[in-house]
Amino acid sequence: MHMADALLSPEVGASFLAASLTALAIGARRLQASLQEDSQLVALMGVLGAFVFAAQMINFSIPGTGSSGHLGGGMLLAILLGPWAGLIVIASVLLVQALFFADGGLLAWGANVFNLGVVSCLILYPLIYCTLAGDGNSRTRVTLAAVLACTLSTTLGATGVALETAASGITRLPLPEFLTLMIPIHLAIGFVEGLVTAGVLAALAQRRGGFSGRPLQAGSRGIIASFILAALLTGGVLSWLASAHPDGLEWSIERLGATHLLEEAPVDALHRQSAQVQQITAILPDYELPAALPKAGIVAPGVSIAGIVGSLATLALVALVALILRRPSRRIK
Amino acid sequence: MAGLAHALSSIRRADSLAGRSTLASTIDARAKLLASLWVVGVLASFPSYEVASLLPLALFPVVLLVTGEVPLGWLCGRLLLALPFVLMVGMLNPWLDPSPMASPWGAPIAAGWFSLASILLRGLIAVSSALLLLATTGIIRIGYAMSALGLPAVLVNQVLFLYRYLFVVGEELARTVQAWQLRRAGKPRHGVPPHQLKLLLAAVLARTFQRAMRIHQAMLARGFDGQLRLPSAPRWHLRDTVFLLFWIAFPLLARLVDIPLTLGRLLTGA
Repeated sequence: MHMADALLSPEVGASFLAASLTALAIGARRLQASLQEDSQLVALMGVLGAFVFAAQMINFSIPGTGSSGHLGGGMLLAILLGPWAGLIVIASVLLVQALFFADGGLLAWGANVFNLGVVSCLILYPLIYCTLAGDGNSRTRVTLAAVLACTLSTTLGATGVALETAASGITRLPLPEFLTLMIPIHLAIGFVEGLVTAGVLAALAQRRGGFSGRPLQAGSRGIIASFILAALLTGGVLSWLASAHPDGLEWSIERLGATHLLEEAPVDALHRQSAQVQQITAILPDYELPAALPKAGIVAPGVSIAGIVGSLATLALVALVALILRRPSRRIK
Repeated sequence: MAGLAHALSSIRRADSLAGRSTLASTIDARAKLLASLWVVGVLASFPSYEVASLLPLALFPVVLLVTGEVPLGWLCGRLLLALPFVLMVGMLNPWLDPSPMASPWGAPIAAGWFSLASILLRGLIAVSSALLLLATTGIIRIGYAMSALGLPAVLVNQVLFLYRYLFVVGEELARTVQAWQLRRAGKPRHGVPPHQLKLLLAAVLARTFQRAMRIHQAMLARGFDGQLRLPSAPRWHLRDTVFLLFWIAFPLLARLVDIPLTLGRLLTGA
């Protein structure tokens, strides 16, 4: 389940991009030393990334639901490669998916890396998988750890999508209903992913004579805790900026000395009614306006003849630019 | 399986598009990557009910489409696959948000229709921009651009490595699943049963590990010392500066001035 650009606000998108890039930068720095010591890791990361990318395209059936899902792969990568290498590999998979299949998008890449990579590799792998799996020699413990970690990872990833969508405020789908839609099916998908992951690890162990999960690198827990704190702070600070300070348009208008446009009262009955509805229903007034915007004089709410004519004219101009730039001499199949 | 085979053929198709020499492909990958991010960022900053004022931003994918000589059919096919989630999340807006908004024919329209249209338009522009960035640049040059812009070399190398072995590992997995399907004499209705999938994946994963070892040996034979190196950035031209500046300024203008409404007022005298 990928977050999409169309559902993200810039504040949420930028916060998650910053958090994920920070995690990736820390991961890259820590891996430099590992790569010097173990040059095999580069090749392993590359082919395992290709493997997870391909495995995500194979759907598995979810018993009893008539539905299907696919692997996320973040937990499997963390178990096989370690948390930092796993994070970098899943980030690369998500980037290739964003570019080739537009799964998610460019701005949403950070949110997706966070939901599918940071949550599984940096939070659930050390806190759940490593704790439950212990030294990784007991098949029962590894299976239990993989099932629980994958179930939580998939469910938290889907919860992340719902929370980011709600925080962005682009869609009106209420958070409780969105979560009700998302969580049950992702619990089932995560549970099956956990079983498949545990089965893959067991089959590999049979071939290789032992489980191959690498231990969490020393000192990682402290870094993870600082990282979570930094992510929360980043989100908090950006949210505060978003709510307490004027947005770019308001700032520009203030600079132009035209603040009366921002404060102008609704002028007609429809605007007044809309403003009243907004005052009653707004959960976060002045952060996101669920009702028609009353900022008359800046953006006219609704549709007007001028708006329709202007939209058609804009489309005609875009088409004209396309015609001018087109090279008729080359036909592409 | 069909999904995997289809995905691999889609990647090959995008690759063949990116490999051609077109006007868009002459622009530096860094300029295109930054411009795409900026356009998508500005697009996300519009209020949720805006529809018409987003239209000028469609110029970015249209320019890439035309100057990159990308077939419209390819783009439409990719868009159809990418938009269902966005549609699913936004489709209830008209019922969840019935606040009235003005219409030129008198009867008010539920505000949710505007936010739904806005979400779809945002999705179209953002998804097209990402797909066309790839189709006019290619993953290799995007990787080098990411490196030149300061992303960690480990991540960039990982992207390039993944891409290099995608077809080898992907085709192996596709063949394995196809062999399973043939023995099963029929396609499963809802995907591969989990207990069988784990065996299929484990078999391919074991071969993937063996392949990684062979690749590592080959890398060592070519002098790999654990250091990841990328080629230096290509030369930056004046046209790249012009392209980047234009695509920073134009979305900003579209964000600050409602271009369609201004045009409409000029044309109708309203």
